[in-house]
Amino acid sequence: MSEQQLIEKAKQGDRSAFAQLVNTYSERIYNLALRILRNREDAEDVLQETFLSVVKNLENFDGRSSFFTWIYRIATNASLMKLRKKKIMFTELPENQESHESIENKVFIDWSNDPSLTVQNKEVMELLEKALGELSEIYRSVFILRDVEQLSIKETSKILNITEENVKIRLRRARQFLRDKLDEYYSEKVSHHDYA
Amino acid sequence: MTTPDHHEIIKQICDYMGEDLDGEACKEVQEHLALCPACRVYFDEVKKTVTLVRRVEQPGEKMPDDVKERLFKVLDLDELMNR
Ligand SMILES: [Zn+2]
Repeated sequence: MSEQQLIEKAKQGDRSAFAQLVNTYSERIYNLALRILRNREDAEDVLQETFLSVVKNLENFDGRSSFFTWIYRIATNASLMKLRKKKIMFTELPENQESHESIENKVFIDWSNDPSLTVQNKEVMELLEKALGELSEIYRSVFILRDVEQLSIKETSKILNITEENVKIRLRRARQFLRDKLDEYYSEKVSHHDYA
Repeated sequence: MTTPDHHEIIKQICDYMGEDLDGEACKEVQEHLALCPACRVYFDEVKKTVTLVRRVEQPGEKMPDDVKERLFKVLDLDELMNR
């Protein structure tokens, strides 16, 4: 049975069709929420909220966007809402990022090919994990959808209900922020060991 | 020899970085990256950072069975859960 048929049946109250949709999407939704929220309990809450909202609103789903986009939008919004409620202080990123205007005057440590820079490097992974947690929700959500979930710019803009231009701007800042964190780490390392 | 307008190029690289890092880039930026070590390094580092985060976050976790059970229960679908 196609997804569209499943959705039609679920709309008419077919519980087994709905259960199939839940089976198809629950793990992806759980992981999406986990990536945005970085906390398992919160991710489970969002997972439940998302599907309860699907039950409630399925009859209004008109198929103009794909079911995937629709459910992702619900889950992303629920995650962001939760993040906002926690009132965590995030690192503010400057509105007008001119940070690498100074690029030409800087001495660069090129760490992009450092062989120790792998997912096995616990120190670096913890640093990135922490940096992701510091990114405020508007940047984090774009980064997770686009760079981790690897959705297109168009899909990301639909899910977050922002323009494609905005997706690009936020994505760029998020990427630069994370890169800068790694760069700080390397700069410290270099100054510590006193070699350059 | 004309020096390319570095600031303009950097801005383009920034725009470029909002896009798919492996996607089609404008020719001028590609050329600049080939010629300008500073921009090239910066770009490579951003790319490496994204790759690392992606590797760490993908494929994600298997949803724990108890999480799934509670979800199906909340939805009143217990008897329809695929185990
Ligand atoms: Zn340059």
